[in-house]
Amino acid sequence: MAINDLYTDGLAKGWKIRDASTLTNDETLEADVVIVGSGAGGGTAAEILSAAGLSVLMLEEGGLYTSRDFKALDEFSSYSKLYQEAAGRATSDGAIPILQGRAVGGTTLVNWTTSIRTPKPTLEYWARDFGLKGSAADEMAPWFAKMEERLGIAPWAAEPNANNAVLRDGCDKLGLHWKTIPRNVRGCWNLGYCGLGCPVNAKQSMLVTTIPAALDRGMTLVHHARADRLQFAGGRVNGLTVQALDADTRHPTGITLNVRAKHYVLAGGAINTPALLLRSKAPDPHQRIGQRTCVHPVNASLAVFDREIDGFHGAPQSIYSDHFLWPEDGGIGYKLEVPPLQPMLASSVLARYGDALAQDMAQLPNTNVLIALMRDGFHEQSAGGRVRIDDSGQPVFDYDVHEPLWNALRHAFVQMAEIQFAAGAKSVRPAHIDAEPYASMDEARAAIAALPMRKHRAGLVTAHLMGGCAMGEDRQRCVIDSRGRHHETENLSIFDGSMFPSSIGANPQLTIYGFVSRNATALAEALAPAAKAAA
Amino acid sequence: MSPDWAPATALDRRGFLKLGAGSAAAFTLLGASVQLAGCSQQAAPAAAGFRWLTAADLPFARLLVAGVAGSALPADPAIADAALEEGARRIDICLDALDAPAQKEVRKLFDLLQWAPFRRFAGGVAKPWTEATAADMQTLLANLSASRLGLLNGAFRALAKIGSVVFWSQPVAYPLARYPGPPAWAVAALNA
Ligand SMILES: Cc1cc2nc3c(=O)[nH]c(=O)nc-3n(C[C@H](O)[C@H](O)[C@H](O)COP(=O)(O)OP(=O)(O)OC[C@H]3O[C@@H](n4cnc5c(N)ncnc54)[C@H](O)[C@@H]3O)c2cc1C
Ligand code: SF4
Repeated sequence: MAINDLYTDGLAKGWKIRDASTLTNDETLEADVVIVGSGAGGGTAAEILSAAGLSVLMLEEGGLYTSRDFKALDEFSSYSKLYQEAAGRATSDGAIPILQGRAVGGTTLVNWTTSIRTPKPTLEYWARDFGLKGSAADEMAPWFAKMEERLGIAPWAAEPNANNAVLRDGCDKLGLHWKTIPRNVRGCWNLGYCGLGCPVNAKQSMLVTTIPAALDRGMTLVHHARADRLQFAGGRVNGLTVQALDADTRHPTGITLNVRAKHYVLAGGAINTPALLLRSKAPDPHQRIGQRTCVHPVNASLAVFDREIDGFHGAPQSIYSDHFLWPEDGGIGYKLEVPPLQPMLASSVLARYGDALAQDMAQLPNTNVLIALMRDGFHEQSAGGRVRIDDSGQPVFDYDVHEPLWNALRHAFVQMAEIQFAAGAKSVRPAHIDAEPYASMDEARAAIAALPMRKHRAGLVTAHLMGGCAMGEDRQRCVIDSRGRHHETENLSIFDGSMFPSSIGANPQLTIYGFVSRNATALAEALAPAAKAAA
Repeated sequence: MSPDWAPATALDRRGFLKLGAGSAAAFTLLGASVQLAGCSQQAAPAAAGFRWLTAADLPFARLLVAGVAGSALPADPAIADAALEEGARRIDICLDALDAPAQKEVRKLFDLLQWAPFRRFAGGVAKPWTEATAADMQTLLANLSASRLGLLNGAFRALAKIGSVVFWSQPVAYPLARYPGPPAWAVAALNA
């Protein structure tokens, strides 16, 4: 069955898409609004702003890959092309590997489709501590509903794969909360390769939804184009220099694009957006840019079953548990989910080698993995990390883990093992250098209590980058206001995961879609009359 | 865990490593020692056919794949060689794709690992990488992993991860993970 390639059809009907790697001369580009980045925030903003009649220019540093490029379902090819730093990004000390997308569609191209609204306590915390206005659960509800409708978000109706069923069954046995995950898919084949790019356009990523809609409205998309520096003067941005990147998207070709727009929208994602602002010496009177960058630090527990789990096939995430998300003592909580288990990704978290690794890998079809996503940024001793730039202006991300977070991670090792044993696991091993496979819960509990909780010994990872340009009316603590407009700069908005004052306590995409659809709508209302008058 | 791990103690005695575990400054310090010793590959060009790995890095890179693959490396020498070569090519793609700050750190690590005093005292490997075996690579990994220095544990994680992903992502390794690849019906339908 041939899958319709939206982009082949789109180009035939006149979509304006340019590959900056092929340019041979510097150029000046003009638009009402330029959007840097084509992920969750950039894509959502593009559709809304172009629908309002504004001329929109979208820049993306990664390449353009479409459904036909994903047919091979090959891990190495996808991870090396579609992710920041070929999936090798990490915190500055290497202790937390970072998965983040880098292609047209941004991280939505490769994410695992879990679509959950912002938890109410998170919205309350942002309102109380950061002065975020107009963003209570009932005020946000229509925006979430609108994006759920737009992206086909609904609870996964098929049976979860066995990897997810372990979480459901284990929680059931123990009387813990669990729920079916809503996914942003239409006509999903239940393949399980969402992390490599969806080969059938079922995943409702920005690549196949909002970006095509904006292109239909005349938006220009330039890929292989990296926003390098904004020029600030007199309380405004009055230009943006953009580097064309070579075919591999790794090195500048030397060609520069000079962009002039009435309004500038940054949507390069957490880490890259704060780095662009720092590189550009954006006004930052309270030195907030890059601060409070949160990651939902993730630890994992590996369980071996004597039945087939085949975690490499089937929708990657369909069950979650929030049982431990909001502990009664007010401490750091976590969300429980599972990851997909294709061999490359699975091998990367094992931190083993040689025969021990080979033995682990030989068990892959019988292996279940649970992950715990820590809710960082809600407590004084867990204020997230800090993005800074090196001499050449490249991002460097420092993230410290303090005692309360280590305690929550240890707690999660225990609870994950409980759930896995309750679901029938024969043995469980926390993803920790000093851990062994344990054959019973008693053994696991005693061993986990003694595990040294230190960086590099406990395995950590993140796929959720949030914060660095906090949103709220408190100008001492926040970079942007409640509508995403930069506090110090007239014509600059930030519409991506960097806007959050802390982590979310849920997978980020729907929170980004909801806030950006509201804030971009407000921006369109502010700009559109001017755009129409000028036309 | 071995708190009294000998090679690190030897290093401490030699006064190379007095820094707290995980201190980023330690790499800088050791990097400086390597530069003084004249072994840095920082300015060396990439090997022919490679983007980032230098000619001096290649034996280490191939051995890393072999050490991490262990008994999963195919028995047929020609197939094994091809997997190691492809592994080195994939390491090269991964490292070339890192941003400059991470590349600088990896350069320091690679230089250190090829610097005889470090290889011997921290890694426990007497032979240069051009003469060493997969078992020697595993000795290095074991020592880095067992060290009480967070910095060396971090080096272990980085090496284990890159070795794992470049080997276990290759189709030749799929049968050993009993991974059937994407569902056959889907592959057929997608390519119909
Ligand atoms: C493997 C994986 C699985 C995930 N699964 C889920 C999930 O199931 N559910 C969920 O809610 N979330 C998930 N996430 C996270 C979620 O997809 C992201 O949080 C979200 O897409 C972030 O949106 P964003 O707008 O902040 O940035 P992104 O979507 O990351 O987009 C930013 C884009 O900007 C580009 N860019 C950056 N800097 C520049 C520059 N200087 N110039 C030009 N372009 C630039 C980047 O290349 C990128 O394409 C997952 C993430 C990963 C990595
Ligand atoms: S599971 Fe569904 S959404 Fe994910 S890649 Fe497969 S078909 Fe696409």
